[in-house]
Amino acid sequence: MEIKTLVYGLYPRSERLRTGLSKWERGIIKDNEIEQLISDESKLFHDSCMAAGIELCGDPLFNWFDILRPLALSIEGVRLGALTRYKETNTFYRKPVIDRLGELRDIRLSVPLEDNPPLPMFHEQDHNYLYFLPGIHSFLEMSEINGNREGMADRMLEIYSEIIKMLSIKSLVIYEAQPHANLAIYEKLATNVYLVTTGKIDEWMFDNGGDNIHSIIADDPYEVERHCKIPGLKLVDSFNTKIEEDGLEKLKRYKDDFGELIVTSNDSLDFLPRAVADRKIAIMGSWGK
Amino acid sequence: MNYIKTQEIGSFRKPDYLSKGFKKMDREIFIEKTKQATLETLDLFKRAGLDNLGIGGEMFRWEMYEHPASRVKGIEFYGPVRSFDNRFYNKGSVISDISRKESWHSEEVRFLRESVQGEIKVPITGPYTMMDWSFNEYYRDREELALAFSRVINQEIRDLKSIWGDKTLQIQIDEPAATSHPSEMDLVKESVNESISGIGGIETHLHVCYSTNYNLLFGIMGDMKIDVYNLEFANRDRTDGGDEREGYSDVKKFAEMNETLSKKRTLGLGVTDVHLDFVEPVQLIEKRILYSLKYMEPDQLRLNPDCGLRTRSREIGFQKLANMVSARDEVLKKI
Repeated sequence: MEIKTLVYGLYPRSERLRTGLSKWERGIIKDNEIEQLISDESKLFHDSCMAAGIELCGDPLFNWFDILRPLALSIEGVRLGALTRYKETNTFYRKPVIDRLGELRDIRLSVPLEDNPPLPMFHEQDHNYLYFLPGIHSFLEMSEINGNREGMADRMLEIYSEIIKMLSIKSLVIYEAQPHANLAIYEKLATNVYLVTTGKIDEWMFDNGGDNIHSIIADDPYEVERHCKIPGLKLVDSFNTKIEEDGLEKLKRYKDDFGELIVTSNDSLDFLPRAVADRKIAIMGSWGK
Repeated sequence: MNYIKTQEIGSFRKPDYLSKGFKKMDREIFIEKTKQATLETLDLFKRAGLDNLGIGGEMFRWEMYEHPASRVKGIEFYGPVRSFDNRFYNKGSVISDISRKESWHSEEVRFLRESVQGEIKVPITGPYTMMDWSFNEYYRDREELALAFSRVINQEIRDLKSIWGDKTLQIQIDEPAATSHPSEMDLVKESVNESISGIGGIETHLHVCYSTNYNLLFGIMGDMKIDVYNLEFANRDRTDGGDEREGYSDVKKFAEMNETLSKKRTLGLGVTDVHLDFVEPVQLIEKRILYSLKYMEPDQLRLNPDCGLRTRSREIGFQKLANMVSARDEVLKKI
């Protein structure tokens, strides 16, 4: 069995970056300086993942103040609402308020944003770079919607297609933070989707197709194996500092059933101290080897 | 008089001479400055007219989690984690059986015993919140960890009571996380009760703020060993001249639940918002109190800020407290 390890979502910031962002917030350093720092730190992160043996390294999203904000601020008709608890954690995000889903702004340019470090949304490092977007179902579930929700999922899918085209994305991680999502819709995206799910997988989630998604990652890879090319398993706990020393033993249980398996965490590693997240990456990398 | 007493809720902005270099000062200088700041803040509370001076604004503590957690054996700190945006806090990891390394509030209470004649109220972070805000690497589950914190906190409260002596000591269990996991309300109840179990001579308070559903809390009130509930309301209320008091609609629900209990509980009503520099006029606070008196008896009502006033400057904090006292005085003339 070939194991590929995946790191996705927001990654904890270094002391240098936290300090830099604090200076930027107080106006001590300018947009272009913080943008450069974010870009430098993103490269360091990417290099350290490669050195650890991580095969699939996502953007660390160092300029994302939460997993929805830069996207929310890039769509006309969406603004930021109240600070809201993320799942059952003690970390909070600004709830997007959707008046309408209008045009997508150019997310490649260096553009100042309200209450968030400036765009660009991503800091691409190489041609294998993995981009990230929150799940469409999660984005809508975690927002306050004014008016009719009908048609919004379809409009979001259009926006995602536009982003894929705009950035020529070859591989994209989509993280559905909320359960009960319609997963079949991602089959329509013209890129390799690595879909990280939350909660139990039910067959209705694939009612209208969805059997050709590149990879679906779940708590139980058997639930998704027939719906994707490469199934995946969430083995690393983003909400506990305990290092998964027994991870390789757990993976051996699957060795006779899967030719290839993706292994990742159950959420962004941003809920952990940086030093612990680094250690988790190191041990994940060793499984791949 | 036991009608509509005014009380502080906990933290108050530290003077610059204490906040700058708080964690870096020499021990002797730190204690000297801490005591000075406590006396100044107690004096400020007196001038504002508060009935209960609390502990002088928590000058001995920087925040509510790391202060106790760093004095508990079995907890390691690996670095900060994000709270929101670019704000972080040090979240400890429980890696073995927890026990007290040292008391975390004794020095403060010992100083207050020498400095305060009247009643005080000591805030102490509760077991459920300590559990919820820690990584659990060691205990079987959240319940086991919360109850382990209950035992440690129970020892701490016993020590505080012993230092305070024969007079009644008011203990305020701070549980901001209380309603964050709706399915765990039984654990909130059990862990808080255990933390004060068997300790005589204390009046027990519970402080919860910014909950999205106080009904969860009201649902366990009858089984909680809590005398006074100090809750945030002003943050959800309007600040213009309107008479609708939507922010206080849960007062009615509290009163309805209280009505069913043989031993009546007291409500500590948050009447001033700690997240706004806007100083609520006396008239607005009066309206909030009078609205609440439609449901609560005056001897079952106390007044406090929504939460700790450390978020505001000392000047604004003082004005907010002074207006709270003036509003209470005006209300007393009317009822």
